[in-house]
This record gives sequence, C-alpha cells and structure tokens, in this order.
Amino acid sequence: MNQPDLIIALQQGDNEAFKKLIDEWQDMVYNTALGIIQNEDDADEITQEVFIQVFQSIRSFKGDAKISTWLYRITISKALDYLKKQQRKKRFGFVDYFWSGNKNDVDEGKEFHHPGVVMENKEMASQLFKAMKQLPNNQRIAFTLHKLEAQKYGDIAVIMNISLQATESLIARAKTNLKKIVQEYYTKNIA
Amino acid sequence: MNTNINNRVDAALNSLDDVKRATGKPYVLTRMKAKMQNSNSSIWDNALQFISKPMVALVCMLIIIAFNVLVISRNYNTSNTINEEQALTVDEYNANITALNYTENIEP
Repeated sequence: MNQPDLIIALQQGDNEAFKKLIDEWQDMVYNTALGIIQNEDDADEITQEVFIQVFQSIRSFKGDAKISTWLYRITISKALDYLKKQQRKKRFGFVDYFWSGNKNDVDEGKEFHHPGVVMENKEMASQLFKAMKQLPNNQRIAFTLHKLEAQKYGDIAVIMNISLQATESLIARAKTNLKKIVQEYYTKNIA
Repeated sequence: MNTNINNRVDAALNSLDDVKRATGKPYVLTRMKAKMQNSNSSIWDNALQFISKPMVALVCMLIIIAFNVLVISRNYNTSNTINEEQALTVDEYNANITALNYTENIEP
C-alpha cells in the first residue's frame, strides 16, 4: 500500500491500515523518543501517545508531507512536552510531594544505556547521552535525528522546519558542545 | 595524558556511529486502545481521586473552618452593636420599668 492509499484508508477508519502504520513506524517513533528523553518506559508511553494523536487527527492530515516526517514532528513535540514536564517536576517537586505525597522520580544522575549500542561502546555512549542532556533542545533533537535515526541534514531540515544551513549549524554546535562537556568529564575523572 | 583524554573524547563522540534502532514493546495498538478507553471515562475518576487526597481534604476543611469563624465573628460584632443600640433606646424612654411598677396598677 502506497502512502496516499494508506492515508485514505486511515481517514476512513480502516483498522488494518492503522495496524500497518504502527507496525511500520513504531520503532522509528520509539527510537526517536528514546534518544531524546532517555528513558525506556516513558519512550514507550510517548510512542502510544503519538499514535493516539495520529488516530485522532488523521482526518486533518492533508498529505503534503511524508507520513514519516509528520510522525517525527509529533514525536518531537511529545518528547519536548515530556522534557518540560520533567523540568517542572524538578522545580516544583516539593509542591507535588506536599499535595500528592508522591516523591517524584526525576533522576538526572541515572545512566542511560541505549539498547542499540554495541557492547564495547556502552560506557562511552552513556557519557555521550549524559552530555546530550545538557544541550539546548533544538541541538539535542537535530543531533538525535542525525545520529540515532541516521537522517540526512536535508531531511532533518524538513522535519524541524528550518533551513539546511541552520541544520548544519545546529549539528556543528551540538558536536562542539558535546566535545566540550565530554572533555570536561574525562579531564575531571582521569586526571 | 592529554592524548589519552582526546582519544577517549573522540571515541565517546563516535560511540553512536554503529548504533542500531531500538525496538519498542509489542502490542502498541492494544495498549493504545486501552489507554484511549481509559482516558474517555477518567474525568470523573480523576476529579474524585483529586478530592480524596488527604491534603486536599485537609485544605478544604481548613477553608470551611475559616469561613465559619469569619461568619461567627461578624455575627458577634453585629449583635454587640444591636445590644448597644437597644440599651440606648431603653435608657432614652425609661423602658426598663416593669409593668408591675406602673402607677395605675399600684393604686386601688
């Protein structure tokens, strides 16, 4: 089934078409969310939310962008919402504790191991992911799409709705910042 | 030492070069449908859950007590003013004389 047919089937509420959409793009959505938020359970939660949004708004999808681009955009938006929520939780954690009695589980120091990283790179990749958390959101997203989803600069530009030059600049700045952060870490811990 | 650090930094930056795409958990469609059904019926559940939190109940109780105290203290002030006004009227018209002391009742 090609993209226009799939979109028509989805807009008609075809269950099989929706199943096909999930089967085809579930891992892409999950992997992108996982790269940005670095938590497997929450990435799974975001994956569900992305497809719920697709289900609810497929009728308004005009088909002027690729489905994958649309899915990337929804995933990024959901992941950013999640990050904002996390920051709010961190800032007002004591208020939440006072109201609900639940201790919030925002754990910045926790190491993240991406399941797709080869064994010998696990430790170094973990340091890199830790450094990625310190990047501004747009650099973090561009770098994630480039490294984890192997997206070309042109595609990243379309997904993020920015120019190609802006994308190149974002990724270059992300790499410089990451190098600085990782260098600082190793200087402190090896020297 | 510097070379060692630089090598490690380069290795860390290149550590995601051969990364494979992570695969999500199965049955997304089933879980997603369950989530949608839950979210449709959960507005009242959420409201009830919020109200039943001990802190919310405590704050509501304190608000009710504070409101009661406010109403009682306002009533007390108003009743004091009324008593003073009544006393003034009584003094002015010598209305505190009981009916038994009226002269027409004493004379035979």
